[in-house]
Amino acid sequence: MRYAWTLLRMSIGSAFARPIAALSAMLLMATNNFLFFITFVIYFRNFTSLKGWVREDLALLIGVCCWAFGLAVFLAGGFRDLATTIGSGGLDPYLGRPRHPLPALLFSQSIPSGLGDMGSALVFWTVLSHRGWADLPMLLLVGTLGAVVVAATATLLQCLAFWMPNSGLLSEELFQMFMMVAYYPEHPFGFAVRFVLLTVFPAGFVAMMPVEAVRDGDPRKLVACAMAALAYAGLAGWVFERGLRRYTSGSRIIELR
Amino acid sequence: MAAIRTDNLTKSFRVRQPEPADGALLRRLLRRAPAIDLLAVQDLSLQIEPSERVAFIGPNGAGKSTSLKMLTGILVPTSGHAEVAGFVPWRDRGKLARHIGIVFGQRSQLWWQLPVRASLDLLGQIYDVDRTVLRQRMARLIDGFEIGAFIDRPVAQLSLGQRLRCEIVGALIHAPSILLLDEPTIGLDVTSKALLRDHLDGLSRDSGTTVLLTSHDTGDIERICERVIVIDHGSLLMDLPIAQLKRDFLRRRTVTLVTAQETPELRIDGVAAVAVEPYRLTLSVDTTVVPIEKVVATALERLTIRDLSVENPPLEDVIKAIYRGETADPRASKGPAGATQL
Amino acid sequence: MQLSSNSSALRAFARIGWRRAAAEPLATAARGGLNVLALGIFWAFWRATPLAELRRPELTPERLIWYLAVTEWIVFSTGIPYREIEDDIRSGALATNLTRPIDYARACCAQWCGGIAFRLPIFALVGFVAALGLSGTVPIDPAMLLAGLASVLLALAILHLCHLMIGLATIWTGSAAPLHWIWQKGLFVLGGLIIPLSLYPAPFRRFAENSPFAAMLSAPASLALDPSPGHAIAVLRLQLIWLIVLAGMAWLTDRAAIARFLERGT
Repeated sequence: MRYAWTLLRMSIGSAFARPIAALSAMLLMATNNFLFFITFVIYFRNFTSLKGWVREDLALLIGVCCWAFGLAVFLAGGFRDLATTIGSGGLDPYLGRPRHPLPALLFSQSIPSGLGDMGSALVFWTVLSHRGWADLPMLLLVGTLGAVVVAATATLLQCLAFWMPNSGLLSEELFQMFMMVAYYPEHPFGFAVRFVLLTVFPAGFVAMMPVEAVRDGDPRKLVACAMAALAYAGLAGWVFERGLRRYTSGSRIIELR
Repeated sequence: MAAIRTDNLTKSFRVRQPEPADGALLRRLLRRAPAIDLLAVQDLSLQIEPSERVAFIGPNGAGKSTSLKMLTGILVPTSGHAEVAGFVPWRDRGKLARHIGIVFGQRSQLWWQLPVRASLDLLGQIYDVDRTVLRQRMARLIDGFEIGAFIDRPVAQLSLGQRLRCEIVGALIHAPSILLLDEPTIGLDVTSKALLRDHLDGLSRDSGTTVLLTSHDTGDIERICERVIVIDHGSLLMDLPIAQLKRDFLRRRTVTLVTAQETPELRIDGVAAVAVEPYRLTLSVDTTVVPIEKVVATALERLTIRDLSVENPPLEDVIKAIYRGETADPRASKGPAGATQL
Repeated sequence: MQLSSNSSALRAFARIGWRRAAAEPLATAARGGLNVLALGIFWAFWRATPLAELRRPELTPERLIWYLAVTEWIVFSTGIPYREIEDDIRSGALATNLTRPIDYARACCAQWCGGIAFRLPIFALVGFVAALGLSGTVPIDPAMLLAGLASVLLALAILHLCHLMIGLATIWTGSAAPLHWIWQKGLFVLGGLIIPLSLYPAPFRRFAENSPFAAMLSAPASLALDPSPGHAIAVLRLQLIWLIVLAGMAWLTDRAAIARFLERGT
């Protein structure tokens, strides 16, 4: 824990070494989120509800997504460069240390715009979705569990680089797909699609299931979120280990395919 | 007309000194750091004639890269004048581009994912080289720089030495009259360096290309260049022929011997012991008094040698020596053929 | 400054752009999958929406999904080209490019043309097959296909001029990503990526319709809602005006950015 805390302190310190740039990134990301929400404001000016969901429910969902994504990139932003590090043989220095490489890789980068996401999440929850402060601990909990799912899924996608050279762009596109699905309400979908979103492509555990847990006050859904977070974190760690065994370090020569 | 001429070329940068990273966040946010003027190059005046091969050396931060950027037109000076191939670089960058070739050792100008041949083709088209002339020239350069074996491989797959040879071919595809090389042998092993130096030396002699080279490696300077310009803290320190640099400043070599004897000793005229450690002896050899070969032969005769190395003095030491005025025979004459000591 | 007007050099850059786009088949496939996924999500979205409340017969789920198919076609064919310029500036490769006798901005645009030539037909095929598969209809008037294609090409040209300016902004800001986020969200909202501008509240709609963002997304996509010749002419006119304005702005930005780079060296 002390090691993880040291890593986090260093990466957050680096992120704020240029405080003006960090603050700008935070403010711009928050603005980015509110601009995105305008689409739904316009939608609900024209329509009363979307299969029982109103504007405030969308605000709740987007707030949970923002918190989950923001927390993940602020604390574990290193997942974004994992494929590049693997592909270029950059794991070597980490493997030479007496610590598991994954925490160092994930906590090596803190992205300040994540705080903008988290700040906008608070506004979405307390102002735009009219939730009381009493709901805040629960929202923080489900959002944090969502962050674990985000970081784990991103790590899984980036680990493709162990098996496929030059997969960085592919991993990024798949992650964009994942986040896109998470940001939109999924309850209009049929059972088959929802099943996929709760298993193979766990976007449902980032926001949909957490929001339902808060909306419905159903403790089973909260437990499901917690178990999903643990399961995907474990899966990401296991896949990384398998990838490490395959890993061959060294030159920047890119394999011809 | 000189190939390259500068008159009192000066460049200063206005920078802000940032607060220490461990300083209070609030202080860093609220207080704007003071701006200072950083003088990178000061009153640089030099002249290089066509076909000359000149080394442009100095310690890190001396102003070499800044000077080179001004000569290529990608940096506008604060004051002063320069002409390269008859053009003012920062005003006539486009016209000048057709007369100069540039190689940055640490940065590639080729297209990383493409085969070398495709990069060279593209460069030929960028420089409007006639297709027939391009084909002939490429064949000659590929042969001359021995890159035929990997011409169809992506640049990303090449070793550093292979890539640098391709970079030089790329810089020559439009037959420039002036070739500027910024640390072309950095990171190369001994064999690759020797190969590249041979090629550059041959190129200049055969085609009369003016070469201006920056490097920290005195081996590059000795092998390729006939004249050296020394710059430090943005100012010209010295401008003299290589022969004189060698005679005056590179006369000492360091020889390190690892021996079977616990307290090795070697007494020869012109040789001084710099460090004596168990099984290890470091010597400073004045090559004007005794040649290196004789020292090595004597050491092999008198001692049981496990390992041996011969090193040139680091360039920083040469510069420091120049600063201290440590010359055997200082001259007062000026101009490219003589020595200019400032 | 005499630079190469050699069209063969620009064509060569376009070929490079095509090759680079074609060199990442899996990423292109993933992006195609993202395209199909988005259409699927919004097909469910529009079918769950009580569109009848609007009393506007042209706004059916079928037409709205085709509207989205066109906006997504434009967005996916574009990618994020500003990052190439950002990378060149941050890595110092811009200096290398400036030593060549070819205008940097023109070379970038030529490369992007090559990339578009590769992506445009692929995402047209993916998007339109998906939209046809979901909706079972094709609301496009074949007579308007040429106008539609011209409108999409104009939209792409305007988009890339914006990317050029955003990328060059790195010279001042050090990172163009935050600017891009805001611009992109502006594009999605004011450009009507998902919801046609005709559904926006009145004053906001007028503002959006006259913005350059509408010329990039909503205007060409609106031909799926209203394929009449009169509307097509209005759309093309709007786009031409914005193309000229943004071309001028891009030229000024390029000059200012290069001048700053030459002055400061970074």
